[in-house]
Amino acid sequence: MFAHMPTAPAAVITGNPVLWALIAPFAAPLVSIAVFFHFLPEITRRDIFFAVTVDPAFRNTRDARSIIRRFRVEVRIHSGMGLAIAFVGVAARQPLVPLAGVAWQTGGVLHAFLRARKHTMPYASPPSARREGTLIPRPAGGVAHAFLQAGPFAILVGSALYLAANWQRIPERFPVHWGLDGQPNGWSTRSVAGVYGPLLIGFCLCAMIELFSYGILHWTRQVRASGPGALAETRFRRVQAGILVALEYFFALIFNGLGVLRSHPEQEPRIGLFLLGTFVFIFVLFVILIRTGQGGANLSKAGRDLELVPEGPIGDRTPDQCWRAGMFYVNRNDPAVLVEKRFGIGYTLNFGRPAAWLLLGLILASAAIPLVIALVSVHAR
Amino acid sequence: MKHAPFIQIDLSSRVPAYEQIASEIRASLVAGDLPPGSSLPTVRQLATDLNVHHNTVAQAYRILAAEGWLDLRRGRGVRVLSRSNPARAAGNDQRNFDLQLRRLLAKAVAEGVSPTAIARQLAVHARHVKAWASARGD
Repeated sequence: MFAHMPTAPAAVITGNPVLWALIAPFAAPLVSIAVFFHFLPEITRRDIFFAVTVDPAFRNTRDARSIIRRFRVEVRIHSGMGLAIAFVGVAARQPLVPLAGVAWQTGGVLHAFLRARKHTMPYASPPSARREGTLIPRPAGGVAHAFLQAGPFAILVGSALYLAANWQRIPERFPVHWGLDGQPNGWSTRSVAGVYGPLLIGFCLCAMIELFSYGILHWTRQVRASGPGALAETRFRRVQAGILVALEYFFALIFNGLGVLRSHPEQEPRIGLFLLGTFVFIFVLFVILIRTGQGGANLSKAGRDLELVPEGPIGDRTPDQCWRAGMFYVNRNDPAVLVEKRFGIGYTLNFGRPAAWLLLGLILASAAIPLVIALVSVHAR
Repeated sequence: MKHAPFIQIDLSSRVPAYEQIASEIRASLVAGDLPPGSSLPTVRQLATDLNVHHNTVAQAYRILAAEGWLDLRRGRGVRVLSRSNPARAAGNDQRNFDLQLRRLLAKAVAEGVSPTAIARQLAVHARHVKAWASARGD
């Protein structure tokens, strides 16, 4: 991608639209990560503070505010450093340097998170011996949801049939990878792996999301069973199911587009549109998840204010001492295979359960399939 | 939006967890929160939610099934049954119930629960029991 970049000193970078176009793919994730970490303390459950179980009222104390303030200052410093490194790397035409900027920021904000966690530890609440659970089974999605879930697979299968019917229209050799300047830099040949590869990758991704969706429904714990928090959590599960289905359609459409391009070599892929669409999708996803909060903690006033739910035990039902660095959960005695991340978004595996390792193996296998397909079918010339 | 019926247990209590689970579900059944024909969560789901071993929940379900409340047929989930009338309690059982209730009331008073609140709660539970009994045709 740097081969077509004009030579320019860093001093004139602000006036060069090409340089801006090249820095954008690095700047967008850097800014997104900075924004996400800025809001991190707001999206966790009210009784989880930097991966430590605390009394919900702790958030309003001077000590808590001081921890948040220090954390945010560190996030800004490391994000600024990351952006500066990325800018210098692009201006100096060194392709690895912008990646070093991303690595700096990621390492820096994680370090800030761990420091904040360490400062929160003295305020940790003892684990609650009280437990609660709902007496109704997890709701199944129903016929409409099953149709929605089948949609992405139908799109991919439809494209595969279209390609099979138009096999002769596909050239012997066609581009499959493009640089940010729009120039092709990877080719493939008319073979099963070369033609159906993107559709197979899309299929694997959608299947993995399906598995995860099933796991969230059946293998996770409903943390709040009573009070307004329970209603917020039920709503959150619906939002989450919708997000996962949207993610499946997003991947299905992208890989469907890449697959169908094989039979239309005259069409040039719109890299800019693809990148813009990806960033918009990720941005919307972040906004939704920040607005809902972990387990629907921000969905309603009642959900935000745990002091309104005196009946509910404190915490997310996972003991603090089973969290390694606040990120990895290992608890043999917990039957849950997936638990809420203490980061504020998403779920993580309980590495104390054998089923979790099996799931991890499946995820890694799904990730390996695209790599194998790329190795087999994509050539530099 | 109506709240789903739920149970609470205390793992620091001297009462075994399976007994607490069985008691809580029984209370919901008597209160009519779980009408005949309705489904209960699977053993795995309830164990996950409560963060207890599967066997603990399975034991509680077996107790309730033996009392005629639940149908535990494999592959069909856990269903609430329309419970037939149990045999009339023997004199000893009634005395035992009376003793337990007196102890519970004394403990509540000793812990500072106001007599008015106790009387109000007893009236609520009495209404639930009457409604359940009349639904069975007693």
